[in-house]
Amino acid sequence: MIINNIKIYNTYAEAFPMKYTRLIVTADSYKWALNAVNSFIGFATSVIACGCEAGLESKLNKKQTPDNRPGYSILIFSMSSKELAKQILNRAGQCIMTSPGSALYSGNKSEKKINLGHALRYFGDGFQISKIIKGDRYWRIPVMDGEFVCQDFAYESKGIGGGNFLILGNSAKSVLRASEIAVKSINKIANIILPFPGGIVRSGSKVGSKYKKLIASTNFEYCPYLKGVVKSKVPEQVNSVLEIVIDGISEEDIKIAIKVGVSEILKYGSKSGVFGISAGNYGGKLGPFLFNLRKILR
Amino acid sequence: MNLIEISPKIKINRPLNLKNFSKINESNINREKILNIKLVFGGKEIRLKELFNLSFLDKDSTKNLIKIKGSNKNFYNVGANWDKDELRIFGDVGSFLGLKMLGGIIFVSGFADNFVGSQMMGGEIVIKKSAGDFIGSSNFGEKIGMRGGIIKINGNVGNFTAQYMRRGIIIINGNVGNNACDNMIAGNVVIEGHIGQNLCLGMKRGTVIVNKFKNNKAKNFVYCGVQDLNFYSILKNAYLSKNNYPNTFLKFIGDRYNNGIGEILVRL
Repeated sequence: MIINNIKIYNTYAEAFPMKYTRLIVTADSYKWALNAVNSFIGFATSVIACGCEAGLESKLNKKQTPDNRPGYSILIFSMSSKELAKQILNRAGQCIMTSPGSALYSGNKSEKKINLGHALRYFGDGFQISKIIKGDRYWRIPVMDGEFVCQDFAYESKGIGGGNFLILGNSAKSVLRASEIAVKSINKIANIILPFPGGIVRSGSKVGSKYKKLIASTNFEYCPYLKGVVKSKVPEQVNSVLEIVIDGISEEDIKIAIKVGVSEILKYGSKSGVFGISAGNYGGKLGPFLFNLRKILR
Repeated sequence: MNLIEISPKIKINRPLNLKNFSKINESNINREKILNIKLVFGGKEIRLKELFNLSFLDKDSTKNLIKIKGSNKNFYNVGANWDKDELRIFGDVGSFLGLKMLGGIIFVSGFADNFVGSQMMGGEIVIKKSAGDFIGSSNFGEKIGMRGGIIKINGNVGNFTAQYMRRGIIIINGNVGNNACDNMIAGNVVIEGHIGQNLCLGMKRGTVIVNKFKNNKAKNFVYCGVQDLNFYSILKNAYLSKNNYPNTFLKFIGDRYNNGIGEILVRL
């Protein structure tokens, strides 16, 4: 399949089930809400070593937040319920509660609860106040700039991690530019996040390593540097490959994100320096969700 | 929704205990059972059908809309243990409206006497005119007041509002009498009008939002400065949609004589 002289490889992206939650962070201004969010989603690129994958989902206006202040929604994904709960609590306590004027609310509902204010309230040292408003409990924890308002629980739901596609081009510069265009369009979509820096990964990984201790290692098949050394999947004219990893709350959301991102790149054709779009296919080792590129783009 | 309309056959000039009327909420209730609900009128047991005209309109719904017309102050214990349906009362009601109420909605177009929502645990009571003493308070000789739900009163209320209140919210658009929020344990009270003496005496926790606080030099309430409180926006969105006040308040904490950390928030 070739569109605008860019080859769409007959392959699929392999993704795996994850647990996720959505949080809403508000503050007196977008600037301070973003500061809190950036702190929370920092060092949350991959479950390989960060414990969770987190990213900014969308900017919320005053009417969309529980306390009518500027805010952002974020999605946090993890492999296990235990790890998700741990990461959320630690990050909420250290990154959101510490940020001036911030407040933290749950952004989704399910039956499985994750401690939020329910655990953070103890920081109030007995001076915390709870309010039940329309069935939801909120904690008001006294802090030095006033009070930190935090909902009692966040809620865990089932999501998907590791949706992806690869951009193959003639130079690092052209591939980065194409990736940026794709990220910009994908970021407009709700229900997904791109957890890596700027939404782009350069150190794509494969499952396992020749070193027993490592669970993941460099995806050498796509390292242009190793073209002549290993059985490479990098065509001759390709000198750079970048990956866009997508975590989403459903298969459909990831499909939409892949379609939007790839379509945006295809608009510019091979003149942009991009020659092909492929995907991280690990032969079924990674997970049960398969996103066939050609089917999605049809 | 099934519509049930009730209006008295005779003038209710003696106390009428409607405590059992809440059986109308039961899932297995039928027309026959409703007609035979036992009431106490002037100290004597009487069946609903003997005292009231009833009309039914079935609309294939699990919830009922019950309308009581021609009520007066002799109707007491109306909506006691009320659970799920909507009750609309056209007229005044006596004491203990919504006593130990669990859910559903009670709307009163007139005046309600003492102990409205006493010990209620959920649901919503709306009173279009004024109400008597002990709104959302504990019952006689008890120390547990309202434990959940909402009471909205458009008019004035009497003394001892929200006494021993534990959870829920009371919104009073008029004035309140003396000893409001006496020994309040927790919960929220919003008072738009004037307030009598001894507000929040013995308060342990909870939030009382007022426009003026006369006793702001009292030693049992400590002034904590001007505070921007975001939780008020959540409260406002949920219950006070017509209220456009900002989130900034003068804050007083007390009752310190009772080692309490309840808050009186005075609007700026």
